[in-house]
Amino acid sequence: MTFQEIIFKLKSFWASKGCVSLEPYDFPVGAATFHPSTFLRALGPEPWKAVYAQPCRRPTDGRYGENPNRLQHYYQLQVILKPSPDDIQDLYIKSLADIGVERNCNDIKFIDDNWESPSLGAAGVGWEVWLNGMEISQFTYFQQIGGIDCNPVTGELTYGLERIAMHLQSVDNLYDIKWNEDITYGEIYLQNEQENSKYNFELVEPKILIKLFDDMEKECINLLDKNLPIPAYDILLQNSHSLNLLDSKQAVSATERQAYILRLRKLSFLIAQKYLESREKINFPLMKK
Amino acid sequence: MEKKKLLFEIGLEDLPAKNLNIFSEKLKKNIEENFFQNNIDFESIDNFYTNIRLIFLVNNINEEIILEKKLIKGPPLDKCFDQLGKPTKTGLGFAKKYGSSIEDLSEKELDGKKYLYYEKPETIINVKDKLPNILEDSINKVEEQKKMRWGSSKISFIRPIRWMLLLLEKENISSQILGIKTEDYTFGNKSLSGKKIQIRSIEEYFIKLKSANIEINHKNRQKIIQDEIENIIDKNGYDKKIDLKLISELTNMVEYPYIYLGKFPKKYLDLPDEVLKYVIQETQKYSLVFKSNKITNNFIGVSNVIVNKNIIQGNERVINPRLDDAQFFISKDLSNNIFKNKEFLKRVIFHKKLGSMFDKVQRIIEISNYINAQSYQNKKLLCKEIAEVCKLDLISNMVVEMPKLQGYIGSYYANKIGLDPIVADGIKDHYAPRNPEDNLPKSSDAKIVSLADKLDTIVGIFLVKEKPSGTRDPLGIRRSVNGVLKILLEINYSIDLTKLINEVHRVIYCKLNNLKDDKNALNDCEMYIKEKLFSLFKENYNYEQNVIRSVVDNTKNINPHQSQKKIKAINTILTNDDYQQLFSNAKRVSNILKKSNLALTGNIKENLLRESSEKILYNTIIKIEDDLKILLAKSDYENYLKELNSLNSCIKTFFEEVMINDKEEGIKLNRLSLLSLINNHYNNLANIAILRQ
Repeated sequence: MTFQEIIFKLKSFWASKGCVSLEPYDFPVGAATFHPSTFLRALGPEPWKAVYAQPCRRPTDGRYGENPNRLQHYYQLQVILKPSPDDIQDLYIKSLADIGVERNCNDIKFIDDNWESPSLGAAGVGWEVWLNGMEISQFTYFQQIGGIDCNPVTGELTYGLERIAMHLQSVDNLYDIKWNEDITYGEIYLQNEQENSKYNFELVEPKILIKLFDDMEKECINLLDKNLPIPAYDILLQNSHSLNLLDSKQAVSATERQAYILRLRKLSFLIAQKYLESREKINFPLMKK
Repeated sequence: MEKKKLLFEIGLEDLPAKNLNIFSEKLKKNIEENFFQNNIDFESIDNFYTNIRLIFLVNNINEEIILEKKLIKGPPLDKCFDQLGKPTKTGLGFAKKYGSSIEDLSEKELDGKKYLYYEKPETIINVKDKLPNILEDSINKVEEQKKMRWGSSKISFIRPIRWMLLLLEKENISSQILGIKTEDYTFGNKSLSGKKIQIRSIEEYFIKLKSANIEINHKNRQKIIQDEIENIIDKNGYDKKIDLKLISELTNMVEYPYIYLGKFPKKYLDLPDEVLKYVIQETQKYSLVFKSNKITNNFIGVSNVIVNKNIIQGNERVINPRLDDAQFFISKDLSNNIFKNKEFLKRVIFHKKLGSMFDKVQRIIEISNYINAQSYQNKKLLCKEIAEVCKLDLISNMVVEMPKLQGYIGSYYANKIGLDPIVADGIKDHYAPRNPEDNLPKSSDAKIVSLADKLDTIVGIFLVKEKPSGTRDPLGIRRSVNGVLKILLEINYSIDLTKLINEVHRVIYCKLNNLKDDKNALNDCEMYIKEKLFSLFKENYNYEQNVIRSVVDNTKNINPHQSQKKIKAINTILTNDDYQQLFSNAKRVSNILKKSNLALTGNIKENLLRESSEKILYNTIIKIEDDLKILLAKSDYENYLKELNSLNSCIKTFFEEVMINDKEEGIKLNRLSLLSLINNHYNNLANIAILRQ
């Protein structure tokens, strides 16, 4: 099964279970959780079901295209189910069967792994899913987002697409993954990894990003004052990415990094509150569905 | 009445494998306690579990709960009836509460006052009516930090509950527990079909689950795993070495275990053992295989389903890239030589208010020096040499990648480049003990550096007001304190820990000028350590509580080694008949002094000693005082106690012949001072007065 087929299959599986099939978000994110369809929609009482593939950026994980298992730009397939249905685990297992991973001839284990994102003020309880010893998914019940208790609780399923493809295609190097029958992952992304690794590790200009971070933070607060949590959230994403770049350039010490994270966290708390208020003001329109 | 079996199964999404046994036991205990409280007659409860089931089997439960006849006291009679004898609201309310009419209530006198009484007759309740509530309460009582919520439900538990099965022999008790219906079916092995299975009796439950390839009994599951591993070991001539902690974790991850042997390329065997252990055992949960005490390139795994080639190959494939990474980082680190530049540690933050790791190392050197002078005075130890390099692996690629390996990696590199073996071992050992079961650092040199490092962290954290709480202890202060105490108990020197803490405080304060001097924080720190010393003595050494108190609470400064010696001396005489008089004397002396409540100067005026028995007592004390001093200085507490014991007869005669409360205030004070002198000698060892109540 090719990489793109895995995406098609998983998306259509979850679409058939009532999920809105969305496209990736157009701001850089470190994980699919940062997509507003997860972070914002997990807040408040309104139900929500969505599926989307999301390219993610983790600058420090770059290896100039030389490591067979690491990328600074990779794909997650994200499923959001709110409230989490009683058969969520069974559904997940069925979705794996749909892409050819049968539970009765593979060793699938749910290893407890609780998740926390300090910059999003978010925490959840859940598992890493292991397929024959390899972590292929994260399965999380959100308990808190932006410092606000989740009620109802959102279930989040995150598939590591490259790892699943490596398993299905029996390849040891992710650049050998077949994207379709003719083109490999490497042919699409190798140059991207090489160039971005060079930028992330060597050419990031800290002064620019630090100033950008400060300016954008002001902008964000300004937008929040005007009760516009959605564009404010976009700015949070930008700043989060700036911090990751500063990190990969080793331009901030551990203490400074902690201070930056706290600044992001403060914004995410405010955004979560404002968003919830704004939905309440319009009487949580999705409640009627 | 016929006794029956009761089965309660909770089906969940996968439970955390670590400590699942403890969790299951806790829940069982809650059920037992609730059964007792509710007068439920039963014989025993067996608990079983798998990764998705918590099962409780109650043996010989009596279906009838018999509540004996009981008198329930109500309000005073005059409050229940008015002057005309008409029942008041209070009276009627009491009757209503017990579903009785006020005419049927009786009256009784208690301490000269009449009260209204309700005589509750013997009642028999069917256990089925009570069970759902009791089980719900037992579940709610589980105190688990990591409780979670799911879906739209209001309940919280360790993991989402997906079904419940409740059977009394052949009968399903259909009810609701935590809003979840208690059914007469369960589900099969989730790794296979996981289909719904109808259960008509408890007997059938065990049979059907077995045939669905589920071994609910964790002990059996663990035995299957152990036996099969031993089988593989025997067949291949491997060492009989099994990590039971890992086996128990693996036992908790499956409904039925299938064991397989996998391998990885031999070239990775050059990696340090700790790296192999970390990657293979800790992160991937495979059991390592040893031959002639060396790690082999084989590993044993446990699968949820019957093992096929794919499963083995898949698992083998996961290890390679991780070991490959490790090999790459190690060769990179070795070519850089991490010991070259000590200034690199300035870039590693220890704590935002306590400076960098470089700062910490400077403090460790100074504190080590102090401890060295307090203990191994005549020996030149390699503390400074260890301290200077002990944190340098924090900047290595390997430790950045696998932080848990800090210390081990440093030792490995130090050996590779030929540092003194004591220094090389000291790097990993200065972190010891890393957990309650871990050994202490081997060399005296590493012991001292370990003390210095841990105390710098402990005192530092108290100074910045981040002392640990029950749930928050990110820097592992509790573990560090226990480490410090264990090392101090092992070193054969009585080090005054209070003075040592003050020294550490001085060093930290001197080097970090942004820190506010805070004596309260230091007091808190001392109290915390004292508490931990107390529990260490109690839990690890099983010393009696009042013996520990008599010593630990009695000394102004904490001195673990000295305290232990005192406790040991007391323990040798505690049940010795010859010493019982000493205990009662000490108690009497201390009681009299407490009652007098006077500030005594301790100065005894010989001219005010009137009776011969008090003169004899005084002179006997004076005679042995020098001996006592010497014995104390030599820490010869057994002979010290012997000397104190020799005073018994004089004290006895004193109490028989002398009235302490003399009319003359001076004489009275003098006699009390004499007692206080004795008391001081007692207290120099311990608060002997509390040893025997």
